[in-house]
Amino acid sequence: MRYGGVTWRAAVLSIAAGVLASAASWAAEPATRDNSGARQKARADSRPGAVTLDPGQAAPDVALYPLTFAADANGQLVGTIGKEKVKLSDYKGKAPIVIFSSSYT
Amino acid sequence: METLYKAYKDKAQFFLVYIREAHPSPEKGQADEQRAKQQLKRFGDKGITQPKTMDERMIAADKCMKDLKLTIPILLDSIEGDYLNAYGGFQAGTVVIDIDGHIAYWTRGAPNGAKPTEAEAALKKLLSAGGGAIRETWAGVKIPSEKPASDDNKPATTQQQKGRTK
Repeated sequence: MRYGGVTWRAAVLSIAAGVLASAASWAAEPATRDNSGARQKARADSRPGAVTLDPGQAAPDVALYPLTFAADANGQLVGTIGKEKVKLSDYKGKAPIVIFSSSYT
Repeated sequence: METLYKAYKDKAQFFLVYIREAHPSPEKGQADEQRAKQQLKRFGDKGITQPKTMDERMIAADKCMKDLKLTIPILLDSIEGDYLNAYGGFQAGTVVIDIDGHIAYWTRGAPNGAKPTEAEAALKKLLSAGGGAIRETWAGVKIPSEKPASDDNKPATTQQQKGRTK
């Protein structure tokens, strides 16, 4: 009985020591437990093909087809691809541009 | 995004560029089918596989627009990813371009999101300055609009100048 008691006490003490060691390590290395997304951002920045644009830099010009709509036989609007591409540089000197890029999934 | 568009559509040109699907439905036999199925448990399956033609991308964009009741003008990125290659590499993001054709604000987007609040702040600054005079970094450090003659050794300024002369 005494032997078992000693074993239990030793087990509890070693668990407590482990918890304290983990807490100390956690407190000593705040950078490695950053939840702000900095690590994710760094990982994204380092991926092949990652692009970084700086304020003041000339915006890359791209030309893309617009999604347009036409009414079908029932009068419902159906998506189609526009005939002419929209070029971002066409808006230079006319208006600021705000672009969100995303997909449905 | 839609809220920002409705609030400022008379003052700036808005676009949603519909890019490649981030979490498409898996296709039978694809190499990472099991992994894709696992991801869909988290992101939900909308029944859209990765478009391989512009028609397929247009159908996905049309479904997105109608399901989410979007009114913002949509541009379709090419299958080769012309937009993503120029502006983000592989992820969704947000860009504000001033009236002179320079980047005023840019964020890569995922995994931190499109940050429409930050985009709105950048747009407000542009509009208050006439649409094209603000040159400001994320850290709030102003970049001179003209390069001083004696400033040749400042790398940040030099980089901005190079960018502007492209």
